[in-house]
Amino acid sequence: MSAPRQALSRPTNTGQGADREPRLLEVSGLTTRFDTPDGLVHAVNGVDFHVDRAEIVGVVGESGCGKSVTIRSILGLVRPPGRVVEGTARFNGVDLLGLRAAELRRLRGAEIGFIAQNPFSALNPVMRIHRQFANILAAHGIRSDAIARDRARDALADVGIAGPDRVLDGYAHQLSGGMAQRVVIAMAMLLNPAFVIADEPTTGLDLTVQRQILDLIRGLVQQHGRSMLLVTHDLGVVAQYCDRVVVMYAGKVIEHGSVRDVLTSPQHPYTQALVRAVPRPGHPLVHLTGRLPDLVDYPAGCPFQARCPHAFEPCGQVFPEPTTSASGRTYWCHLSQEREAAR
Amino acid sequence: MRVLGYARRRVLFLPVGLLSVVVLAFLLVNALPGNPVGVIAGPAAGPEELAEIERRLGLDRPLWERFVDYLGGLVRGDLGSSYYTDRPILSEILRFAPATLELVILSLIVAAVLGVGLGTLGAYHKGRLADRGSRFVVTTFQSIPDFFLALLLIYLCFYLAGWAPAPVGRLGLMDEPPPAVTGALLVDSLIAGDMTVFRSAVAHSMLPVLTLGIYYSAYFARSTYASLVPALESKQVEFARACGLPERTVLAYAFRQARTPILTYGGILLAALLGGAAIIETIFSWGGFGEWAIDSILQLDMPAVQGFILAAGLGTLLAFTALDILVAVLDPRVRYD
Ligand SMILES: Nc1ncnc2c1ncn2[C@@H]1O[C@H](COP(=O)(O)OP(=O)(O)O)[C@@H](O)[C@H]1O
Ligand code: SF4
Ligand SMILES: [Mg+2]
Repeated sequence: MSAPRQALSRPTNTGQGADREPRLLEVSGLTTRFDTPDGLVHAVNGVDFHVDRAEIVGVVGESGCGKSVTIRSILGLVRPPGRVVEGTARFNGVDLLGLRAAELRRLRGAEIGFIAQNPFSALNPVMRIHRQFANILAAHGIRSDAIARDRARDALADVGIAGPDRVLDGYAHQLSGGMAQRVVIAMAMLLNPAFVIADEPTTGLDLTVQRQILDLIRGLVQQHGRSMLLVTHDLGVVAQYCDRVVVMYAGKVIEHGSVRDVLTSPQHPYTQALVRAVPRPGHPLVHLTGRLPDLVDYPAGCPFQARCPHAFEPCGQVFPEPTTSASGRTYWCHLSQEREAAR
Repeated sequence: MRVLGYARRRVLFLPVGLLSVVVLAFLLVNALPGNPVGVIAGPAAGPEELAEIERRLGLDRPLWERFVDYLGGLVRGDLGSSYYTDRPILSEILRFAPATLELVILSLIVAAVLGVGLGTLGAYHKGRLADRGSRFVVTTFQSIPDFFLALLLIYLCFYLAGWAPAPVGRLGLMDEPPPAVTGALLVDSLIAGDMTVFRSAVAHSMLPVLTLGIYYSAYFARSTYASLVPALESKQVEFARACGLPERTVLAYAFRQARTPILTYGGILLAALLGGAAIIETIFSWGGFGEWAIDSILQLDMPAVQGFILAAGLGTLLAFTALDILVAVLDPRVRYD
């Protein structure tokens, strides 16, 4: 990983309080569980974070830590046996979790675009690409096939597909991975949403294509003043593409802040471990050992205690209070008390 | 073009399949335990009498000679004739098969509509009340033996309620059958424009169709459930929802994914029912193909059994070929090179 991107040329809107204009997205206390035969899976446990206008926020954390479930909860896509049991997700001031299904459906695609992880499992394999574009437009009130075709062509041109008609008349399996992901991006951007959610949008693509796709997404987001929530497990991607970052562990946010703060001086031992596991010149590579705690038998106190080199007495009893610095970086670790005391 | 090429290859393969059916029909029957001669002659017959019957039926000649004869007959459209009635087998098949086809196709339609409906209801509401309800109904349908269901329906709908006519066959005793064109009464009565007979035929089909339809709906429900649940949980459906598609369209997307296994199951049931509806045919005096086959087997009427295997095999072969082509039409990913 090179040094985090310093060029914060775009406004981060940190000065805007909730009293003036509501935030683009403000998630608080989000809690989602799955009632499985093995027990109640505590997948997401009181997650708080926000996304401001014209901002790219990264969500990182190892596999299984609840990133996708968080997104699915916000979009109302959690299916039984899963259930969002608590929390709010205010989008422009409106709580998405309180909306009726039909109202939320109209927001999806139109105001919140979703870029799926694997295009080949997301696209319908037995339906021509054109029909899939047309169905999305029809779902949002645009029923003319001719208009749909024009809109789809434009959307494909925007993602850099040169011969859109050939793609539109074909099927997903006829495309390369990079092309298929471009089609998914075109679908996410089709109705010009103000907010885009991308769940590990480049997994499974080869490295050069990954860069191209991420550059493309960032371009489309920045050009139109959109915001994005970018889920990834790659800190390099966070450093290069995000303004702020939310670090998750076992269904909780354990640290968030500007990319510069979090990646250059991580405060939470888990974030520190993530940063140390990224190869950098002049730094020894240290991999984190151990596994996520059992989400059914969720540990009391700090969920990271079993793997934490600094774990001490209070860690096994209560979840730590947040500590926020002047720059807005927040983390949840009992060490903060020690650090205060040492001062 | 992809599909046309595939369809042509499948059709060209038909003769090969047919030949194996012919060999199978011949061998199965000639390897069948039981001596028809003894059955035909009766327990009181002496050895000369038995030898005479054996000679008359050609059973004294070696196997390969009989096979060559059989093949020669097939080429001329001669499937032999019944040991008992002496009627040509081909005309027997043409007489009985339409009744069964009519019954089986109607039953499959009822089974598919009912079963796919139940399976969809359960899959869509997986883990909720509707799922448990649908599962209960399906389990009940499947655990009642079909013959018992037939008797139950006769008892309830004919004997108690009087909604359905007596189970005396495809028409009432007083009805005059329409001139045979296709052999299927519903079609023939419409061709003849005889609405009285048509209504009677519909009324008489009701209970057997309902019996088989209900019984086999359980199979459709299970295969629908099994393929629709993963389809509804797939990333594809999630992405469709994330794009704001309404539930109707989302369900249609899931169905497109799930339909191949459901269709395949329908094809298998069609093939199985061609001969497998025998008990129901017997209960309703249907005069169908399966009933004829059972009688022939019990009487060791070998040409008839051969004819049955041949016709059922051909029907199965055609059904599966049509099914494979249909699947290829529906799924652009299927490649056969
Ligand atoms: N449908 C489900 N049923 C039961 N558990 C689930 C389901 N979906 C997700 N989970 C659990 O929720 C946790 C978080 O998963 P996820 O959000 O997909 O992780 P990731 O951070 O890799 O995206 C995992 O432990 C997973 O096992
Ligand atoms: S709270 Fe305790 S266990 Fe958790 S990260 Fe901090 S020191 Fe480690
Ligand atoms: Mg995930």
